Amino acid sequence: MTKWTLKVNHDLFGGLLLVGISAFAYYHGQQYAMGSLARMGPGFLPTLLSVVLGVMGAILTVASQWKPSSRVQIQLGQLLIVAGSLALFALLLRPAGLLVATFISVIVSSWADRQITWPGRLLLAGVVAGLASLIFIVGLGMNMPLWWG
Amino acid sequence: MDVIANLGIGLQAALTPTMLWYCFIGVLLGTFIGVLPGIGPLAAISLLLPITYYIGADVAIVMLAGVYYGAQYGGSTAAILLKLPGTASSAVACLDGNPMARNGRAGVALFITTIASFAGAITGLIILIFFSPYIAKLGLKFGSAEYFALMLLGLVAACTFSDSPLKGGAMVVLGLLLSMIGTDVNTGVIRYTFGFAELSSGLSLVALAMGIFGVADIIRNINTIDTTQLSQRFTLRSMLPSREEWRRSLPSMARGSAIGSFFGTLPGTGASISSFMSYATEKKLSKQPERFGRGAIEGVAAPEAANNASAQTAFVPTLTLGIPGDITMALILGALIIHGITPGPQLITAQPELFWGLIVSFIIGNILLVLFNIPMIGLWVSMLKIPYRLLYPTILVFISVGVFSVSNSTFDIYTVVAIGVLGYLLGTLRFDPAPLLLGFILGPLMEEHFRRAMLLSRGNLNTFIDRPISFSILIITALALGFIMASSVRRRLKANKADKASHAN
Repeated sequence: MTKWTLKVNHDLFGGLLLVGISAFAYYHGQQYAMGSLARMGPGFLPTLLSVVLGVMGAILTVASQWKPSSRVQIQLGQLLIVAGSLALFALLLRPAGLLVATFISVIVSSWADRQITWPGRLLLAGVVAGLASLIFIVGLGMNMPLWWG
Repeated sequence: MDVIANLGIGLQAALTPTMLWYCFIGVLLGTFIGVLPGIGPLAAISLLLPITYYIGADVAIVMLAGVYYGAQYGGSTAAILLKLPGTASSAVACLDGNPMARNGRAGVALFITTIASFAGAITGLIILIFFSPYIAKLGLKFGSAEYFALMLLGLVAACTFSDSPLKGGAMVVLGLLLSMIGTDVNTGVIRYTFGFAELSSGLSLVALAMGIFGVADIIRNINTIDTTQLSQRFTLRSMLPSREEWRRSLPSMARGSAIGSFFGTLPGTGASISSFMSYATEKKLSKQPERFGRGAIEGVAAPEAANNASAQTAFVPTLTLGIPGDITMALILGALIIHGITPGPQLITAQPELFWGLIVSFIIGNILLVLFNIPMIGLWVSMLKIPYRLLYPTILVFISVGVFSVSNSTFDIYTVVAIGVLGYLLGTLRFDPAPLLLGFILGPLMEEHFRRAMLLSRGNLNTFIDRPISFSILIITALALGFIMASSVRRRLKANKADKASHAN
């Protein structure tokens, strides 16, 4: 699995991330009317909250200078595989049905584990696809396609 | 006596076959989820939330609540045997539970956690039974100003106990901001949807919870959770504590129950905080604090009693005021609202069968849990042996289906992906995501009450100070904030001193 090990200052990056989010929320929120304290418009609280978030982010960024950096591991491979398997499930559910979507998404998501073998992967995908169809469509009668169509 | 009459109503409601069945299913699932490391009650409840659309409101709540307090029992099993907490609140059980297991006292540790859990839960239940009617009566006097002040207290309390109060506070504000997405109820203006029609009713709570707690945790846990080192069998005899162990653990259970009951009733603070606080208290009170961390039975008994007590008393603010006691409660509150029940001061008088039936189901559920956890412990230990590589792909599929079924839209699955990546990033930068969810859930309620309070007072902020109940709540909030600042300054000073000392050497 691809992994990045970095030595970073958490609070510096965390603080900058917060400032970024707050700036985005602030500028995007300017299109909504502010109103007054007695009659608040839709933009009042978003503006207020993004300013508060920005201030907190700024304090965190500045205070980070007195804090040491430490090692961080980003499990990039696992992140991409898990995200990909979920997106694939969403993509396949409508056209291909629950059975196929589950089978393929399990094949993909099981890739993230180091130990699993091909026969194990196929067996797991088959069992989970069968179980999901039984529980959600036969058992609970949920409204989703089982098969192509 | 009122209490007996009330419990009579509850018994009638709870002793029907369907209620008993869902109570059984709930606590069984809860124990299962609690035992397994890598999936907690929060993810389990958000998974079950869509399924509850297919059953009645009362049984749905009985089941979801069962998952919640059942998980508090199961959570310590993996903590003791593998040093892997099954739930966040059982992380403390690793500290002394795992050394006990290495000293050959694993059976005793498991037995004591079950007894402590039961003692804590019953204490919490007694508080719930006796105090709820009074809190509800007080709640009838609450206006928007009081509700706003109380929720503010909850949010402040939630970050007070975070590792870094500033980072916890930032997560609360981010959660509040995320709750702004969607249609503004007062003006009908659609905010922050970026052209996605699916977002006009707001970001899906289930998608947010599953992304931040389900998906982000799974990404982190793959290839790290290892349960293969397990090879223990338990006989009932090996589980019985000695007289000395009883003598040590009983007072700890009592203290833990009291601490847990208190933190449970406060909005915003829940099981994790209670167990940490009670562990710290035991260590401080002990004549031999050096035994802690090496298998002190008090360090297992007290936090387990505390987290179960708080799991029960967390229902006090949730059911009587409609303000969630902690994040899991917030999801249960969401479930109640989806089913058309608005918890609040009127709930006890308007729907006594629901309220008291739920409480009686808690009593039944806790008795079931003792049976599950002592004679059947071997079953759970063997469940622990299921490798994580088989579990996580299954959980991912369940998450996708669960999220999809809330509104039959694949858009919500993509939301889970985005939130999951964000959650992973925030976790990597050492932000605690729990306050974010609390902010997200309280956001719309706070906005509504704040605006109403301002509308009624014509924009005069003094309304929060002029009303005595609201004023006292704000004073408590200010004290809590003061406490945060003082303790973080003290910690900084201590760290500096330690730094200087290490440089001097």
